[in-house]
Amino acid sequence: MSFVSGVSASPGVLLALREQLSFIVKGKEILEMKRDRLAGEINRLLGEVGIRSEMESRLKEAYKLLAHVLMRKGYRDLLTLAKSVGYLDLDFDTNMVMGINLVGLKVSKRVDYTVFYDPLIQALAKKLNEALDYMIKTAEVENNIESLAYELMSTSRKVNSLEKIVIPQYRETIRYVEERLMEDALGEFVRTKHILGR
Amino acid sequence: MRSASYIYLITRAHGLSTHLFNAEDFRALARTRDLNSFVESVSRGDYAEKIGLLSRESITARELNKVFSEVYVDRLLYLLKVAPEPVNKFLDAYTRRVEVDNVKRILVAKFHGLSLAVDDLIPLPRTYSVINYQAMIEAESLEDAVTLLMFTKYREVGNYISIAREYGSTIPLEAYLDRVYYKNVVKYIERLPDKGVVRNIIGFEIDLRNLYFIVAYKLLGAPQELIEETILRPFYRLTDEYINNLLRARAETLLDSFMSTPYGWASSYVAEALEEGSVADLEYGINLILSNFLKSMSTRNALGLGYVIWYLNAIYFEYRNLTTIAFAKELSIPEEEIKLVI
Repeated sequence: MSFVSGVSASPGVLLALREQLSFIVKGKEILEMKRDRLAGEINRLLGEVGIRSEMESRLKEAYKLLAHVLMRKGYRDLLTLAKSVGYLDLDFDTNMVMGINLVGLKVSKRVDYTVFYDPLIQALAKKLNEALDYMIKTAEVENNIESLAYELMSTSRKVNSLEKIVIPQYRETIRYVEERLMEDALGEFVRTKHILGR
Repeated sequence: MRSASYIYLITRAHGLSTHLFNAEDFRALARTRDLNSFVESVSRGDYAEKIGLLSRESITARELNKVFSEVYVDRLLYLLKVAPEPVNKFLDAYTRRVEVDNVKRILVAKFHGLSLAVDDLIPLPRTYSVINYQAMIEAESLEDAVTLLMFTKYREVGNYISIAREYGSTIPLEAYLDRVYYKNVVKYIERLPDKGVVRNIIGFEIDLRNLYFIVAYKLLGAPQELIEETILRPFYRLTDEYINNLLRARAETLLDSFMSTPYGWASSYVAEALEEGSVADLEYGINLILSNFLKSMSTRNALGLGYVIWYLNAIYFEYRNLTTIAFAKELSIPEEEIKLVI
């Protein structure tokens, strides 16, 4: 191993290597804890992923009604009416989980669909508004799962590389340095005995 | 003894009704491949000349809608021309619904600060409507636009601006215009030769419209005071007691309250809409009830104003159905879905 071959065998190096190994092992344990926490958070959010199918069914219903109203009112009239409801305002808040910013979306200003006189238009605006709520929740959940999954992947890779490559390499190097120091000590012992026997 | 001009009016209505598309025609139009095929099929009778002036390559549903609305207005105003006194006064009041629609559109645009063009309105000749739509559209504010209605029967609409601003909605303004419209229509009924039949029809229409608004707004969870704001008077068979019962009803008792009204026989249409929670189904059902009622009145009163009012509604339904199919074809909406709406 190139790592082993480049190491000079001395008691000082052995001490440093042992300290480094202990630090890396602790780091690995922390990373494992982070991995478990991330996996737990993803598991929790996975329970909310089902909201997508609800969102899709609500959107489907809203689009069905939209087609109906578009046929009745035409695109231009509906566009004019749509402009009269104003905009939806969203507040972003963030929640830090293991260094990952999880985004929370909250509607701070709702669209007032009760402004329309025609109940059909009101019904359409209500349906679209409800679908929008589900879209916002779905975006929040899916975005957070994506961020967590990306971090989980990167953390798992780090834990694996520490566990399977770095730590075994360090152990191998420490063993090598210990053997070299033992050999050197034995050689010194034999040499001393030989000199004393003469 | 009926006057010759009255008999002529009814005869003309019978003659003109043969120009209308029937249910099979609408099904055939809904079956057309695309907007161009629809244009080919619809280019006959009263529409042929106006559609012929449009460029076929770049034809849009909006242009077609303009043609359909022009034909609709021509048909409406033609009957006014041939109607004798006092029927013409009533028909004039009855056909003002187009004018009310235009005023509503302008007020909604002004209220929300949106742009609108005269082309977006149903075209009405100045000889019929004295309202200067162009000036209303160009007015700087809602208050200025309302000032231009000073010399019309909608002059008091300005009193509802503050309440509309309070609600943040044009509902009080639009409801006021509807109330003025129906009050005016009812005013002329007493002088008509077929006043009993006409009262039945207009009363039925007002009652159905009130039922639709109450049930639909209830379905949408609208506040009580807003629902009350939209109720039209005078009531016909739907008296204060029935209205109050409906207003007080909770979602689960709404159908029971509806069934206890004189329109309980129509509850199957409403039940389905309530079950689905669908205002679209409710609107379709209510329109169907009105259309069937008018058809039966036109049969029972074939030689009276019942037939004329059926004709006026039939031309409105034709205008609406053709517009619906044109927009549906432009949006490539499948035939099955179009048939659910027309």
